[in-house]
Amino acid sequence: MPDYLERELERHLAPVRAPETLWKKIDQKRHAPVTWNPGRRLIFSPALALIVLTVAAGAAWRARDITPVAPSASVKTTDSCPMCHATSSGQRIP
Amino acid sequence: MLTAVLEETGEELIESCRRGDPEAFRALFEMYKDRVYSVALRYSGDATLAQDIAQETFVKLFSTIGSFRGDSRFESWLYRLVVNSCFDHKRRTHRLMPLFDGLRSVLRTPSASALDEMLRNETSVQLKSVIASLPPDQRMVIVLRYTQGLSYDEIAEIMGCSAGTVGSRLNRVHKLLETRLARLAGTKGTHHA
Repeated sequence: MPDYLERELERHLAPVRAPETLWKKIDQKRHAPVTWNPGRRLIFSPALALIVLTVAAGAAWRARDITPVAPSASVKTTDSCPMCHATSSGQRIP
Repeated sequence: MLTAVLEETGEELIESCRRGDPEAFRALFEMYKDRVYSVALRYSGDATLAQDIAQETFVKLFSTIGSFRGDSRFESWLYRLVVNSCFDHKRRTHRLMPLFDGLRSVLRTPSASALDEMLRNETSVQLKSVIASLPPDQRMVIVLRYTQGLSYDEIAEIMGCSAGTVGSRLNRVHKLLETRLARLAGTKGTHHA
């Protein structure tokens, strides 16, 4: 790199003195009381609770409508099928 | 009391800070304030932003000094805090200003001819625009090198990369500046010959 460029960079990026007010700024920040900012949380909590409540109520309502399926009377559960109810000797399983 | 604390060595000061001694915090601040502020200002190019960055760095330093185990040098650890604060601010604000404050007043000398002054201004404008357009890691490398005069190894330790990477980043910036300023340098050389 050419010398003039090195010199320009050194000059333009030379260190500076910190302003006198900096310590005050830091000290204020260090001793500032920690404040709890509930804004977002307070907005979201009721909304979330409402959604959960709606979903739960909906699920409960649907569950109330569902009746257990009764076995159909037309289906005969007899042992008349020879494929399932026959032994290798041709005898029927009681 | 503060004078006494200021006379302590770096290690003793850090130990006092760990114990929560407020005078030690102040002394540590006095010891490093210019370095921290210079990096912040040269990186951000804006005095207000630089104060915010320095404030954030020192607040972080005081609250985490207990976790400093001495595995690396204290200066490197502090520089890492400044670098991270600078990068965080860049991410948050996206409004970094050109790098140099009061550049024209520095460049202006009473004996300079009108042409000299014009060339100097043009050089500084080019320099400013190139550095302002650099990506954060390249800009930080150049600030640590020229504002703090750190070695490649020291910069590498702070930036968490190899000395070779630091060298190549600096080289890239130098090449860029050289290309942009070549015309002006030629004119300058002719003028002074």
